[in-house]
Amino acid sequence: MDRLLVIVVTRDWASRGGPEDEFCVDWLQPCDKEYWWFPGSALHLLLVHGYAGRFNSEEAVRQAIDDHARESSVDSSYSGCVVLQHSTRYRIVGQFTVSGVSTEVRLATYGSTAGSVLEALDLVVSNLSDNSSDAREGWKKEFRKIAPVVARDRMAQLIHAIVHLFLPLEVDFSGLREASDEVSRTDYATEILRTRTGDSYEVRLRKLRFWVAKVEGDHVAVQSSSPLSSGQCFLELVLVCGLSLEDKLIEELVGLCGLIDNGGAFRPDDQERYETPREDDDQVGSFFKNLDEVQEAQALIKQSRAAVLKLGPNQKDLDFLEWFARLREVMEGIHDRLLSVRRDVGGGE
Amino acid sequence: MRVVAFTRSTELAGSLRRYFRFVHGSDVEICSQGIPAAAAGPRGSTFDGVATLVRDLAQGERNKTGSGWIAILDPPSEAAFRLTNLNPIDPTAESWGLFVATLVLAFPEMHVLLVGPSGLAASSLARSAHRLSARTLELMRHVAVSGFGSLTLLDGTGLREQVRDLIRNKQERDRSRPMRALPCRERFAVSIDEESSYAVLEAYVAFRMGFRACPITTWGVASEVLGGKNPVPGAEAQPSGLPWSTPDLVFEDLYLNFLDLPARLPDAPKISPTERRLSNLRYRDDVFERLGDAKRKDNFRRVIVTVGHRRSSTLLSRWKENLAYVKSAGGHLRIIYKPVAGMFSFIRAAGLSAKTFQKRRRNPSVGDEGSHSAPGRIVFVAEVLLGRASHMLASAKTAVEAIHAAVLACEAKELLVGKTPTTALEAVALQHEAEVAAESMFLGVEYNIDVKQRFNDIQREVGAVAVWFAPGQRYRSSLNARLTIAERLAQRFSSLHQVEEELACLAHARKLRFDLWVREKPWRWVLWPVLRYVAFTLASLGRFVAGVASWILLFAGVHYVLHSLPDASGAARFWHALASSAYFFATLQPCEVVRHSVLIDGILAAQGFVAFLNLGLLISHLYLTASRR
Repeated sequence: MDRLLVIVVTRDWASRGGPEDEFCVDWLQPCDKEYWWFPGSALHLLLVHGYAGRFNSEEAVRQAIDDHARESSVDSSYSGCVVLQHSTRYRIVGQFTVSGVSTEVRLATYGSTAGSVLEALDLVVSNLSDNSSDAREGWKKEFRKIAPVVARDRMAQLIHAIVHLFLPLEVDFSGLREASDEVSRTDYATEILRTRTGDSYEVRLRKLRFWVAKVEGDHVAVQSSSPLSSGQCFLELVLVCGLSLEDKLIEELVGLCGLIDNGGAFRPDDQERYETPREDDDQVGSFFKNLDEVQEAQALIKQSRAAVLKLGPNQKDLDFLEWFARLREVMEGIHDRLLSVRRDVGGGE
Repeated sequence: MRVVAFTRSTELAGSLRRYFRFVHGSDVEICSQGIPAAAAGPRGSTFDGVATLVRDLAQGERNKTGSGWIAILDPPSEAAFRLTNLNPIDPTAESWGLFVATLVLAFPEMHVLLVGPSGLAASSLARSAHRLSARTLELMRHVAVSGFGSLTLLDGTGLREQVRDLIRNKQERDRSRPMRALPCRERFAVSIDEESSYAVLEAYVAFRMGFRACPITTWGVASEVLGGKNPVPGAEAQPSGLPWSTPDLVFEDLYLNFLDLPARLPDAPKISPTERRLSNLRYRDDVFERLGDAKRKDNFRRVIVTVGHRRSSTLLSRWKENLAYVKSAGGHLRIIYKPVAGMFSFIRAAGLSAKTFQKRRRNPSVGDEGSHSAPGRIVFVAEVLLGRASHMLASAKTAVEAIHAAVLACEAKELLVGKTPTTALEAVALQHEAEVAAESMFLGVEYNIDVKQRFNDIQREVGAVAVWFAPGQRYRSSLNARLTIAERLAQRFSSLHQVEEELACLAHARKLRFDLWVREKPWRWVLWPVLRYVAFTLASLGRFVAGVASWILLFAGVHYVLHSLPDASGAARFWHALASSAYFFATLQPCEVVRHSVLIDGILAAQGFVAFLNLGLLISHLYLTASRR
């Protein structure tokens, strides 16, 4: 099979680990690594971490590429080699051979002027006239497969953030359930209400709905709250990874969030497919609203026994512990389906 | 209970503090820094930071008391997906994945609870039992009540096996798998006994024979692990619903009086109310769903460990009913009466030393094309384990603490798969030391402990490690290691006042020392038979008497054949020769009637040397007896 070696040098003027560090933010690679090696079947990718202070000349870039290529399992069996640089500052020009690769190396840049890395690659690959059109299309397709790998990791970040919305409450409810007697349970509940911090539960539910399906994005508390720099929601990542929204687990996730599925196409920017139910029908919403009311009542009636005892795991119609356990299982179940997508095989400490 | 939480979330930290204060009465150590900055240094090794943290935790442990240990690991959101690679020897693994994997291996008793998705198999027990949730917190409460604060020490939840599986299958660039010989624990065992010493000892025996194991000492843990019915009438739900494995091996006491036994035992429709008691095995199998399921498994083994008293006719008839039930239920049944004569006797009595169990313990060097050294990170983990085991053993006051130390040493030994020989031998030595300490401290083990099997086991294990030494040095290195271990065991027995076992170890060490001595110079091989004889007869007074009697008989035969006593004939001549031989042995003087010739005088001289040697041995025996405390 014809194989292409693609080398991408990320933005080299951004501060390492900062918000503009392309290697960490866009490619989701750890900031302490110098490169990422992704050996696909038809295409091998060497992603070189560019950051401010790393390179001070074109020669330094050449040397870094050469070193990392040697550390990775780069061999001489490639049909072509493409080097894409985000920055033009230390752009490689003229003749260039990568360690062990005898084929001709094509050089290009990408970024705000040259378009995205994907577009730059498409352009360079299309110009590889020595290779068959089938091979060129295969490489383009293979490069697009890297997106699901990154999307899967983003999904893990999103799940982690969603879990954090409700995990402290789960721990508290668990403690209330396990407290040995009513006196310690009352003390416990009082302590929860006295020391609890963070957003109201209503806001947390809104965040959950926004992060899952971009519903309730007009609410001020959830705007710009996405834990992902890309701003993608869970269902967008699902689509990037090629899963169907008609999947049973996806439908269950939407149901657990208390959203109504109207069917049709999903476009994150206009919420036609998913929406919140009317207040009277919103079982999940009313549960969290009630929790907030208990909190407020406690603030008014200092340490009121009646108020604090309202706080408990079996309040209202929703069994929170069961609901949250299932929410985690469903999200992780969806994430598990993507684990067959390979992540990094190389590395570089 | 010690609880350490690695989280940056102040809200979660607050909830955890409240929970553990109100439910367990313990504080939570919060590490809000996460993995230290050293792990994210520009060119430094990621593992450096992890190693520093692990060492700090091991050091901190020495200033703490209590058996339970929970670590809550909440990576920052941007590192959450890195928990998907929990392989400590993978150079591409990220700091959080490395940290979790290293903790799991270096602190087997620590129950790790993860926040966020992990790379553990989706359907596995390990995944659900190690996720921070209401279910696992409830499980931790049941474990805390049990007095033996860990489900993970013997890998009951299978998390360590999953990390080991990743290590086992890690390929180098040349496609070799240097850790492919890492032992595998596929099967699951439980030991049920309200006496934690017995439960832990039995579970450890299963662990030693290649099972993941879980000691069960309370109703709460039994219900969690074995799927107990809810005692509340009409309620069928399991308390936790975690997907525990059905056991392949069960050690169980017949009479169970759990401290948290519910006031009303669960209903069992097929069993009359008067028969509903845990000593009724039919009822027990009905109440604990996975015990009932286990009977249908191939090669299921049930070992009843009981004092076996049947003082009344009622107890006798119940015993017979139970026997009839378990025999009809199928599977292998063994009955062991308390007390037991040490671990090896226990293994034999439980039928675990059969070939089917031995063959899984393969020689680590078989088919291994890798180097003699284990990966550096594995050596680091092994050293942490050995340091902890050594410290724990030095301060052990109970059999359970000594077994804990033995598990740590056993883990280190297995992780090294016989490579890095010096550290591997240290692990073997420490494991055996901890085991004999446990046997000696435990009143449930008979006064005299079986040490012969232990020497065989040491020889086998040391032999497996010694394959990495140069062929010319292999046997000598093996002898050297066995000698050191035997002497350390003798010292251990001595400090625990196990006199007979100490002498047995010293006798074994003497034999090994003689073997080692003759190998130093070729001419010493001439003395080898004499040294062997000395070692044999000094092992016990009985052997000495047998040795002397054999010499007397031998020389009597020689005198008889050579007609050295010419006056007698036939049977009388033989008895005369025997008496003469014995007389010479006792007095070093020949009988007056003995015929003298060069040959006969030469034989008498040889007999004199033998008698003199035996006199020396007798004095040695008397000294050894007199010098006992």
